[in-house]
Amino acid sequence: MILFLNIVTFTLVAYLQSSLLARFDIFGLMPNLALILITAFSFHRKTYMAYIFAFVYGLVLDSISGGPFGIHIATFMLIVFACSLLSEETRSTVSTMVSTVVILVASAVFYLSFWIILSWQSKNFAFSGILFVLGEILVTTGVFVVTFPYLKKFFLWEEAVEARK
Amino acid sequence: MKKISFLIFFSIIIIIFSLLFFKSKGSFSGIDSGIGRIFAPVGAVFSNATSGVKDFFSNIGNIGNLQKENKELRTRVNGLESENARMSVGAKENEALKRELKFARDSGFETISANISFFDPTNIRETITINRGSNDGVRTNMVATSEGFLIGKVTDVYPSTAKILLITDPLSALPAMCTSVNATGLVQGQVGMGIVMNQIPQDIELKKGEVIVTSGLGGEYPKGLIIGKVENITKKNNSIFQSASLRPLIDFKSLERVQLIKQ
Repeated sequence: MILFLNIVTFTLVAYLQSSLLARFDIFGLMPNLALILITAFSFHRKTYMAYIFAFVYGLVLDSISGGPFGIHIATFMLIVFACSLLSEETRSTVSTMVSTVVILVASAVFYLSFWIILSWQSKNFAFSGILFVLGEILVTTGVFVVTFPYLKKFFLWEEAVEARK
Repeated sequence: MKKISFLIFFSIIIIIFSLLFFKSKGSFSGIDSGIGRIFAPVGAVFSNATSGVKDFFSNIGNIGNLQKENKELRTRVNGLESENARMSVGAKENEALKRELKFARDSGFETISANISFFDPTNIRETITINRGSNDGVRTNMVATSEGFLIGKVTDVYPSTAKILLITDPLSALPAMCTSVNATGLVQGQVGMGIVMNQIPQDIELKKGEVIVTSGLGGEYPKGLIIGKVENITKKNNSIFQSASLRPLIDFKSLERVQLIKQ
């Protein structure tokens, strides 16, 4: 049940990210819902499960995206690793502050490495790109701060339902 | 006792007749207006309130009918609204199809139409996935247009889908020229910042609003496909080239259908 719900949630978010949200950006910026979901998921699920989801979800997004291939898988795996270090004992009580720092660092790693690779490939290190990347990092972190309490409730509710069975 | 009752009855009759007599003579007009002035505001409040109550009670009987009528009207309004929305979407689609047809007829290109399945989820890369692939005749490097404007080219082809690299992607570069002056350059995408035309010779006098089209150099893109209009021009004294940021004539975020040119 819990696995099924998680698969549905991840699929919906992937659709949302690559269809609906892509059309409704905020001044050209768009929050990365996949990063947000993986971070919240990693804080509230068993580490091995988070690694499996991170890998499969990363693979799916890398194949939809124009690349560089593997950037989603690598970032998601790093997020799971960081979350497993930070929340081994206190998964359900992880604070918004700690999780915000994680998403901030994760989105910075994701977008900056993306920008560096693309700039190197196109041989065009435009400074305007940095501003855009910073905007993306801030929008993703902002949306995470707003949605994290709800995602936390959702994942804890799922766990409670499973425990009752 | 009977006498007293009789007297009271007669007194009342006399008082009533006297009042009627004096009233007809206009003797009570001052008293009337005073009473009216004092009680009128309160009366109005009560009148309104009771009229509401009256309406309420008279409507209670009709509530069943009103609810039914309301429900019917709501259903009709919803139906008309959805029909209206469908018609406006249909009209928009019709306009787009007309433009596409006009482009195919005027240019003489044979095209394959496709719908967009996905946008790139990262917002840094500018790629789209379409619902046509090698089974439908799509090949790598086919040029993609929408409503007659250049949008990109096919980079990856699968049996039932294909990926298009948009001209706004940072890894996209294509030779272009200005329609009014003899200026050539290279149109490149920028991370989150649209498209820029680089390598334009300094001595060329570019103006805002000038239309930029593909130059056809290299044979990758056919000549004359519209890319966008000049928005800003950047000139540096110590550089041999100038650059211009371009505004695409189509909104890439609201793309729905694309045409692939068979070459």
